[in-house]
Amino acid sequence: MDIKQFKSEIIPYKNKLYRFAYRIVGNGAEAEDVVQEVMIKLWNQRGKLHQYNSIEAWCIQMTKNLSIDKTRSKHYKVGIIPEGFDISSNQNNPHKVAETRDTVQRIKNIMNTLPTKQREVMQMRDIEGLSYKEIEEQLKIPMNQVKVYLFRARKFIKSQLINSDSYGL
Amino acid sequence: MDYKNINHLLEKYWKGETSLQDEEILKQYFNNGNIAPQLEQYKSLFQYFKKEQDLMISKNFDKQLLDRIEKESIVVPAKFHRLYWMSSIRSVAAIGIFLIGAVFIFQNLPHNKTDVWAQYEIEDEQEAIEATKAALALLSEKMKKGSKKATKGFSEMRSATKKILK
Repeated sequence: MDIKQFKSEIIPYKNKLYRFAYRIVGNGAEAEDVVQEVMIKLWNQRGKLHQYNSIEAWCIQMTKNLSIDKTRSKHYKVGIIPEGFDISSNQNNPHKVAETRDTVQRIKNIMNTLPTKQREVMQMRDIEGLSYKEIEEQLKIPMNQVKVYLFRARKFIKSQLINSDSYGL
Repeated sequence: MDYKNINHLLEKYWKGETSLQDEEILKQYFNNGNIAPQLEQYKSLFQYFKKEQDLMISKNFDKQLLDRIEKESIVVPAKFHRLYWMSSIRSVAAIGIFLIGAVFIFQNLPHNKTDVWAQYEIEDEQEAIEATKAALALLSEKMKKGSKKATKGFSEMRSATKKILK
């Protein structure tokens, strides 16, 4: 693989990997460091990449491992709205900005209470837009189990939304 | 899309029965305003998905990454070539030393030794007969000594065997 192929085939994963890393390390700069490390590892192993069935799955796995290593190496805080979070659509209305920020933060908090596998499956499906087959490959769990995790996660989120609405939260 | 259809899709969504296209429709509906009051409570979830999808790595990421790759690529081949040439030089030097040693040893081999021994060869017939007789006499004497010792050994063995058998 040459640098041209690397740019066209590997670098496009950067945002997906960044979001994945971000959700684990909870910090934009740290997440970016993780993605850069993953990309460098890929570049250094470019001669062996044909051995992997799915480079994307390998990237996700590597991102996950490095992100977990980061969180172990120091204290960190998850669930903060990132520095570069795009709220430009509401910039004319400060109340809207605050409302959106609160809303997003509330959902983020609920998501963080989910068991890890359920959260990962839901994020991959609802944020990254992956098919069940892709989730199965990336998380290395059977498709039926993927569906079960997704069902349970959504059911829990729905109950939390209904409850918070009932209490006027 | 009207409330009825969205509500139907939403029910499928909670059960995990929606396709990716269905889910995209739901995301668009809840992020475009005009949400039915009965569905307001779910708005935040789909807004959250949309916001998370919009999360992007910094714009100068590519440049930083490619700069780093370029730097590391320069260092790695330089190191590789240096080691490669060093190992080649070592190989050539080892082969050279081996060849020089081989030539030196070959030149000093006593390969004309048969010619040297040839100068001691007896040419006179009578003298040769005498020398052969002397050699045979020496051999005969040695063999006599040997057979005496063997005979003595056999007789001792025989007496020892008799003693054991008794």
